[in-house]
Amino acid sequence: MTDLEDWLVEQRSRRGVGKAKRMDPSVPAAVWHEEELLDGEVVDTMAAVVRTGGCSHDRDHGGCTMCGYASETPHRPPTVDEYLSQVRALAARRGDARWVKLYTSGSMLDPDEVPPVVLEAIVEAFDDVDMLTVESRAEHITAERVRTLGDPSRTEVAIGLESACDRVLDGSVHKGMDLAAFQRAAAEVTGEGASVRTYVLLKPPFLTEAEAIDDSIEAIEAAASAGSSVVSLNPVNVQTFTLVDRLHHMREWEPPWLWSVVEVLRRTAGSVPSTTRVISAPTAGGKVRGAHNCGRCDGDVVRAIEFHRLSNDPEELDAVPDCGCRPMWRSQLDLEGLMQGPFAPFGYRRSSVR
Amino acid sequence: MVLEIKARDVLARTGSWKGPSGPEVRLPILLRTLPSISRGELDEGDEAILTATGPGPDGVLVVRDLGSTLRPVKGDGGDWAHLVIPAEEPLPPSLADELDSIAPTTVSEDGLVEVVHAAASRVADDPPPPGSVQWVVMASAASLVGRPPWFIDAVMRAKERAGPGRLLYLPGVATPRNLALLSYLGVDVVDDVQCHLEAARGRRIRPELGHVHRPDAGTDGDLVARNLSTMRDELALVREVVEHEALRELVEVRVRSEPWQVAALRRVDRQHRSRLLPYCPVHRDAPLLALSRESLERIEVTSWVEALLERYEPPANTRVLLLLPCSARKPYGNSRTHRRIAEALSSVPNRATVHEVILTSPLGAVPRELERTYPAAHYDIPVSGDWFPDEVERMRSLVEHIRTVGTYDAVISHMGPGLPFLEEDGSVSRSRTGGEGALDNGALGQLASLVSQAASDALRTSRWERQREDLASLARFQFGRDVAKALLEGGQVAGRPPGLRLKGPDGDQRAMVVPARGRLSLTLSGAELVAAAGHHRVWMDDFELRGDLFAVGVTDADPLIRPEDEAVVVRGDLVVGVGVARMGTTEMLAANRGTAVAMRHHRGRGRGGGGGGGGGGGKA
Repeated sequence: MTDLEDWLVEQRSRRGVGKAKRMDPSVPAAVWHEEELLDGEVVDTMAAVVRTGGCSHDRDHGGCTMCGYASETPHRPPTVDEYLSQVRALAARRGDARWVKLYTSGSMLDPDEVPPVVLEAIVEAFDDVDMLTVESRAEHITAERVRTLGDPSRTEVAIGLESACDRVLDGSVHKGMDLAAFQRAAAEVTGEGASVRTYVLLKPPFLTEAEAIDDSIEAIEAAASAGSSVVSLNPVNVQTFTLVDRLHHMREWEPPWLWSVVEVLRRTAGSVPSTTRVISAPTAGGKVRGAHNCGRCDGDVVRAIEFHRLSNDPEELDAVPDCGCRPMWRSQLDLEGLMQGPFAPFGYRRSSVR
Repeated sequence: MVLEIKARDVLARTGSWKGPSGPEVRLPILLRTLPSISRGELDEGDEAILTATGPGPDGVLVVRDLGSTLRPVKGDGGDWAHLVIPAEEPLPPSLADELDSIAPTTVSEDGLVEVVHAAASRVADDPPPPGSVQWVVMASAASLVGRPPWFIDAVMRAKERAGPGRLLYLPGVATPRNLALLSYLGVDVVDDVQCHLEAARGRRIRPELGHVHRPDAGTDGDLVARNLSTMRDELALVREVVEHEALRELVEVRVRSEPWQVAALRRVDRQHRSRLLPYCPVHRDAPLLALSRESLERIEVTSWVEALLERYEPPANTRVLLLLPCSARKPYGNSRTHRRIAEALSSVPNRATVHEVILTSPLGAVPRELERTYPAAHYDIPVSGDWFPDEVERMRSLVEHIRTVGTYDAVISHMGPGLPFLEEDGSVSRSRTGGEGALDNGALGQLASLVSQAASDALRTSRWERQREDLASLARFQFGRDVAKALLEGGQVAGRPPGLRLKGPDGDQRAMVVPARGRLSLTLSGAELVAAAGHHRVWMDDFELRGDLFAVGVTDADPLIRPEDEAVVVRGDLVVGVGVARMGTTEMLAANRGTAVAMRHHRGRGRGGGGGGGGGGGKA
C-alpha cells in the first residue's frame, strides 16, 4: 500500500543527484534584491536562499507536494567553513539593503540543518539592518532560538502555515504540521517580541479553484489571529521534481488564476485587522507555471498586485481593469466543485474566443 | 426505487427513474447546475438539478454534492436534497494506481450514491457496490476527457460497477457533441457544466464540429441559453434514436466532431467488445448503416464475423462454392441482381450442391442460408465500386475460413474486380472478365456454364437433403454446434423456404424459421432439446408462469444469452416454456423490473398461439 508520504519519499529518491553534485556548498543558492514596505516606507531588500544540509521534513518524510527547494540541496551538507563563506558572500552583496531576508531549503532555526555557530555568524553579519527575516518550520521554533536572533524589534521569523485546515495540510500539502503547531510557534515568536511573517498557499493540489480561495482566506485569518504582522499569499507555482509538477504535466492541476489572488486579497482586506498586512508576490506570475490569467490581462493584474504589496492600499486592487476572462474564472468557481474532482482542461484559460 | 427501461440500444437506454424521494425523471437525465442558475431560471422541461448549496426548486429532482473530503461542503442537514453525492477523497487519475492506500469508492450515508475513482484499475477487483446503491458517479471524468484510452477504460470500469440496475453519472463532461457517445457507453446521467464553461469562454457548442465555435452574429449575450438549447435538442435526438435502435449511426456521425471521440470509439470497439456483447441484440428490425471505417468494428458487425469464424460450417455435401456480389436490396434473394443470377442458374444440374456465399462489406461474407438474419438483411453501405484494404482482408479471411471448414471441389467467383485474393488464386474459376457487369449476358452465360460443369462433376445431392443442411447451418450459427446437433438429431424438414419447419421423428414440431428474422424459433419440444444440451436456459422462481417472465422472477440464467435470443424457461428441472429474451443474461439477473422473456409457448397451454399472456387460457 502506497500512501502520499510513501509516494513522496519514493519520488525523492529520483530527484536529480547529478545536479546536487554540481552545487557548490560554499555559494548561496540564490541572491536577489527586491522592494519591501517597512514602516510605511519602500526600502531596498536583499533576499537570499542559503544552501544548507536540507529540510528535515523533506529528508524524513518526503517533503511538501509543491516545494522544489529540496532539489536545491547539495549532495552533502556544507562544512562550517563553507557556510561562513556563504555568509561573507551575502554580506558582500547586501549593498544598501535595509532589510535582509534569508531563506533555506528548510529551516534556519533547525540546528541540524544550520549549525548554531553559523546562525550566530549570520546575526552578527547583519546586526545593523532594520529588519532581519529568517525562515523556519514551526517545529524548530522555540523562544530560546528566537532569542539568539538578536534585537527582537528588528527580527522577523517567517513560518509557512500554508493552510489552516488540517486535512489540507495533511492530504494536500503534506506539510507534516497542524494548525496548533503553527499557533504554538507563532506564540513563541511574538512572546519574545519578534514579528511573525506567515506564508499561506493558494491552491495546493487536489483543491478546486473555489475551495482554494476559501482555504487561503481561512488560513490568512488564522495567521492574523496568531499575531502575524505580515501574511504573504503564495499562489502555488510549478517547481521541478514535485507532485505539483507531475500533476501539471498530466493536466490534472493548474496554477491558480491571478483573479483568485486578487479575490483573496480583496476579501481579506475587509476581514483581517489592520495590524496584519496581507500581500502577495506571485512567483512566475502571469506565466503558465505560475498564477496566470488569459494572457491578455496578466501584466496589468500582476502590476496591480505588486502596487498593492508596496502600498498596502486595497484600492490598488480595485484599479485592475476588467477582462473577458473574468467570466471564465467565475464559471470555474461556480462549476468546478460539482465535477467530482478538480479539473484542468487543457487550454481552457488561454483559449477564449473573446 | 423504480428503474423503468423503455428502450435499449446495446448499453444505452431510455426510460425513467424514480428514487425513494423526489419526482420521476426521464433517462438519460440532464442535471442543470446551481448556483450557475438561480432558482427562477429553470427552463420548461428541466427535470433535475445538481447543487452544493441548495435548497433546490420544487418539482425537480435535487441532487446535492458534498465536495471532497479535503474541504467538505458545510451547511445544514440538507433534507431538501433527494440524492447526496458524498465527499470523496481526491485521487487524480494519473496517481490512481500509485496511491493505492486510497479507497477508490465512497458511498453516501444513505447508501444511495457511490463515487468511484474508476481510473484506478483496482476498482475492477473490488466487491460490487452495496445493493442499496442507485447511482454510480465517476470521479475525475472531466480530467480524463482528451485521453481516450484512459477515459474509455475508466468509463467501462465504472459502467461495470453500475451494471444494468444502477445509473451511471459522468460529471462535467457532456456536450451536445459527445452526448451520443456517452449514451453509447451506457452513461445515464449528464450535466450542463460544459454548456456554461464553453459559453463563458465565448463559445457556441455545435454538435457537428468541435473547432467551429464562433457565436452566431448578434447573439453574444445569450450563449448559455443557446448552448443549453442545443444540448436539449441533442438529448431529445439521442432518446429518439435509442428508441429506433439507431444510436450507433448517430455516434458515428457525432464522433467526427472531435478527434478524441473517434479515438475513444475505436478503443471501445477494439478493447471492450466483451462488455458490449452481452447487451447487443442478436436481432433488430432497424437498418444498420455502415457508412464509416468505424462501422467495420461495431459490435453487431464484429460479432457476425466472430460467429462465422467460431461456429460456422457450410451445409454438408455442398461441393461447389459460388461467390456472389451483394445487392443493395435485402435480403439479397429479393433483389433484381440475385433473381437474374438465380434464373441463369435455374437449369444447373445438381443445383443442391452449389453453396452460394455473398461477399460484401462490412460483414465480409454472408452464406445464402443466413441472408435473412440480422444484420445481413439489414445493412446498407455506400457503393463506390472499390474496396478499402481492410474490407478486402475481411472477405479474404472469411472465404479462406469457409473453404477450410467446407468440402468444396470447386470455387467459382462471380465477383467484380478489386479482390486480388480471388484474382490471383489459380483454384478459383472466374465467370466475369474485366469490365463485365454481374448481369451482362456474357458473364451470366459463363457463370451458368462454369457452375453446371462443376455441379455435374460433384456428388449428387437432393434438394430435400440440402434444405435440412441449410437449416442445420442456421442452427449452428444461431445456437452453436452442440445445440444444433441435439436439435437436428433424428429431425426432418418440412415446408418451403424461407419458412422451413423442423420436425421430430414423431412429427412433432421442434422449431421453425421465422422469415422476418431469418432465425429459428423453438417450440416446447425444441426447447427441451436445447435445455438438455445445456444452453439458453433461464431459471425462474417457484410460481405459476402466466404470460411473460419478468426479470424479478428470474433466479439464474445460462451465460451470454443476448437480447432477442431464444430463451428456454426452466423451473427446477422442468421446462415450463420458451420465448424470446428481451434482455441479456447480465441484465436479467440484475434487474428488478421489465420483461426478461417474452413467452411464445407455455407448457400445458396447448399450442400457445402467440402472445401467451393475456388471452383466455387462464382457466385451466
